[in-house]
Amino acid sequence: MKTKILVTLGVATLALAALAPLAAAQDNDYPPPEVIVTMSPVYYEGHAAYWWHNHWHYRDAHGHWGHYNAEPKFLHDHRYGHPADRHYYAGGYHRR
Amino acid sequence: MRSAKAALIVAIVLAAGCKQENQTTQTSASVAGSSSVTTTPSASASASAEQAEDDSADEEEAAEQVRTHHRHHHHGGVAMFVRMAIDTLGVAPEKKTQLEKIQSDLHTAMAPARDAAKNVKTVLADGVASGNIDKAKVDAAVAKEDAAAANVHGAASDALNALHAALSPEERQALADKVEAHAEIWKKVNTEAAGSKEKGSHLEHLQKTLGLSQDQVDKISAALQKNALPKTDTAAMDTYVSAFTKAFPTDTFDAKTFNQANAANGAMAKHGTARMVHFYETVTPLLTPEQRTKLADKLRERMKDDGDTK
Repeated sequence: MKTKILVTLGVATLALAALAPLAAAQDNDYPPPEVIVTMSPVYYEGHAAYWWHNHWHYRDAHGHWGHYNAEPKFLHDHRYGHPADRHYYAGGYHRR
Repeated sequence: MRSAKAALIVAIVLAAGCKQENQTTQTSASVAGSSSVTTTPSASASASAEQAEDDSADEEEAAEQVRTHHRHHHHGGVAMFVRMAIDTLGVAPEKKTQLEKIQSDLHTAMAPARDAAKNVKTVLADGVASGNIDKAKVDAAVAKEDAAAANVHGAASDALNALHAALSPEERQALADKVEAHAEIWKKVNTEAAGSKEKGSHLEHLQKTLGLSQDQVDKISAALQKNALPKTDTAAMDTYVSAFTKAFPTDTFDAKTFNQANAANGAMAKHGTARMVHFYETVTPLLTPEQRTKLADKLRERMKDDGDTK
């Protein structure tokens, strides 16, 4: 029984290690500064999340960018309940 | 063997779940208790494509406008970045009135520098329209703006502290991120290679705005390269922005402790305004009278950018 558990854990670890790089591969694809300064974020799980290129992006506690590959329900509901809040800076402040 | 197979299946399911549900491996936020929405194919792929195209066009327009803003407004230094950052902080409605008051206080703190900056633009616009920019008059106006900009931080400190007190930890971090992003854009457009014709450059923007011919673009580019100013020194700004964005999310932030702020804001005004003036001094002789009139109008419009219409 003990051996079975060890084998199970070992295989699970190997499989996770093999797939982890796929999850991290898009880490460099984060919103440019022009998006950060013209879009309003939504606060979720203690950080500001920005909807950009079909994902919610945010910076973690270490300043690294990450994103949700599957859209959390809260953010999904927010996105469909509120139009994108983009700010334009020409000729006076205005939004649309 | 059977248990190993089962383990493999479990592992793959677990890993796929991780990939779908969670963020990148470098993030630390927990998703425990959260639920996610699986992306479903859109009812109409073409509608999605059109929406994406609209979003992309809106994003580019907003980006171009903020770049243009940072090419033309240097009087408020980092305090202006903060004031602009509040615009898109996305706070709860019940906090908006309080933040609008703080924004208004920051606006007031920048008033002397803003008036001096308006004077620079007025002198420039008059010169562009007439085809003859009075250098002595412009230099005197620029000196006044530089001096006024170097006093902004002292006047804005109370408002910056009030802002810090009003925000939650995640809102403070978001504001720091936005200030950093504004600084990055400011640096990008104010350290651009002289005479650059690349997409997003000042000259490319001018070409679109005034309908410059390719011959005019080439001549302006050559003239800007020939008379290039020394590279903008951003060291003071970099140091201050770094200190500010590190301190603002912490509980111990106090704007009054930033001794380097006035020097940094003054340096930004000095370099940014000199660069803007030099650009229009170089461009003006190479424009037609109609283009000069249009450019002068555009310069006057820039005076409305920094919140006076609010």
